[in-house]
Amino acid sequence: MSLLEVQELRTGYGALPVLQGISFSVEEGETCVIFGLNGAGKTTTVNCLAGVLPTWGGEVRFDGKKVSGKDAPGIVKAGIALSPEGRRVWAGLTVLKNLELGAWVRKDAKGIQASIEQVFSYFPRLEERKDQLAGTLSGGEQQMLAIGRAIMCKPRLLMIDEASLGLSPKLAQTVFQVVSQINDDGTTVIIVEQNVGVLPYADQALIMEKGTLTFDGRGAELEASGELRKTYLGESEQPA
Amino acid sequence: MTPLALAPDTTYLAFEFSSRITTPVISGAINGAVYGLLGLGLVLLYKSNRIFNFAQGEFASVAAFTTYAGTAGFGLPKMPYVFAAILGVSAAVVVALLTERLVVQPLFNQPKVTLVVATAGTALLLIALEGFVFGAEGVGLDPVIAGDALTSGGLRVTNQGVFVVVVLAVLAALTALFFSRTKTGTAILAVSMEPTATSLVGIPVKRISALTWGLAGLLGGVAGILFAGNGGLLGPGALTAFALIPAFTAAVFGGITSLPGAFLGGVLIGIIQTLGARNIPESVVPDANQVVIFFVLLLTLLIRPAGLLGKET
Repeated sequence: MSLLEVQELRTGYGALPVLQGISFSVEEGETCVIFGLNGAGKTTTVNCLAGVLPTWGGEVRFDGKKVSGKDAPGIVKAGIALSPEGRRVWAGLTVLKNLELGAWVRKDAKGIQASIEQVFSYFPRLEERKDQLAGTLSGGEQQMLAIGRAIMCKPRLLMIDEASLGLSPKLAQTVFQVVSQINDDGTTVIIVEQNVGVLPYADQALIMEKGTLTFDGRGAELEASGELRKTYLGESEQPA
Repeated sequence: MTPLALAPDTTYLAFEFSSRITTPVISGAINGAVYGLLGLGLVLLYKSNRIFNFAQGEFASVAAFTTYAGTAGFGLPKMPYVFAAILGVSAAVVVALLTERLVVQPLFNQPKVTLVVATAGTALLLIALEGFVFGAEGVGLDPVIAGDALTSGGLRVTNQGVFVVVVLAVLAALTALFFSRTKTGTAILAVSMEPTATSLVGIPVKRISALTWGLAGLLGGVAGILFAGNGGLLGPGALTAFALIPAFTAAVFGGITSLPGAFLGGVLIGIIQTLGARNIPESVVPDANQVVIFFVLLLTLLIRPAGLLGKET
């Protein structure tokens, strides 16, 4: 049994359908990357999984239990956390308060303290700036904080939306390496990305187009298949 | 002039100082404490919803009218004041919760200005309901504690006045501690900054919003009972007309996001208002007690928009 099983998932905004019924599953302990152009439905997918968007149809099972239909707090309690698109850190609170509040659903004071230490070990920059207001951090540091805040929920499945958006290639690589380390430490990861630099870290890769999945396979297969070039560069079947 | 003639003159001057400065400062501080209490509720909702709540004055009125109804009986056995006051504050909390559920939540994703106008609508509705039930003439509510704490010369400090200042100080300190020390207080701030991200860590955003409005109703209710018990007639909309603008000015003057600022701002506004009323002749500035408040508001916005204790504008 896979950790996450998505069956014919449909959702959208208002009356506008976006996901046309997508199905995929993610194995425990793996990193799954969702590629796709803007507007392909990647963010919609993770927002729906996180309970921010209502499920119109289909079913999501997490660890064998149905989680579709739960609201965002219910999903967090089930063990799925999302670091949202655009970071969305609490600008007027300090770095430390951002992390502490991230642990809202947890009651184990010692465990929470350990998680803070863990986040600081992943991102030493956050420890240096722990008393600074989050709004004064650079974009890269805010991304680190957004991921750190999601880790504070102690999720079994961590979803990161647009981890590298607006970051320098070097900083993006740093973030990817930390994510891979988080994965090695036992957390299953879904990353939404446009940056192909994440590919070496992907066990599984999905490509989305117009609200449907056009590729679902191993990361290594994707590299060999040329599907990514087709998606991003619009190469036709004929040789150029 | 002979030296003998000087003596009565100095006595006269001393008396003048007391009636023109000392008395207004003390009685103004007491009036201002009520503005500060109402201002606390405004600051709370500004911090959490980023709006100015025009209905805050009527949350207060609802509490005062309910307390009056409880003590007057209206055919039922008359209640002891304490029970009537608890009933009054509860009524204000219920009205605030209903406002949150019926007005604020449906407009959650609308522009803030829509919500602000909706609170003005809520205030008008409440004023109309108060008039419908209690009539337009107004009623008189007894003070919480009758009697005087101090009388000397022209100065009179009522027990109620002392009580108001103490209640304001305690509530300002408690609410400030609530925001800086408790997880729930921090969560209220988090909701105001990033509602979606806040729900993503498992914080129940809707319940937090209801809690915030309930608290605002509680603060407003306490303010209303204390204001109405200070003497004068309580009519429909009286608090909106006479206390909401000074309370708003107090909140801005103190720093719109600062709870201790609302306390300080309220007391200072009360003092400035009373000093203005006593010392500016009616022939120079009519209704000086109203005019000085707008003057302070204007000066604050021009010179220090962040207010006395505020960190942001």
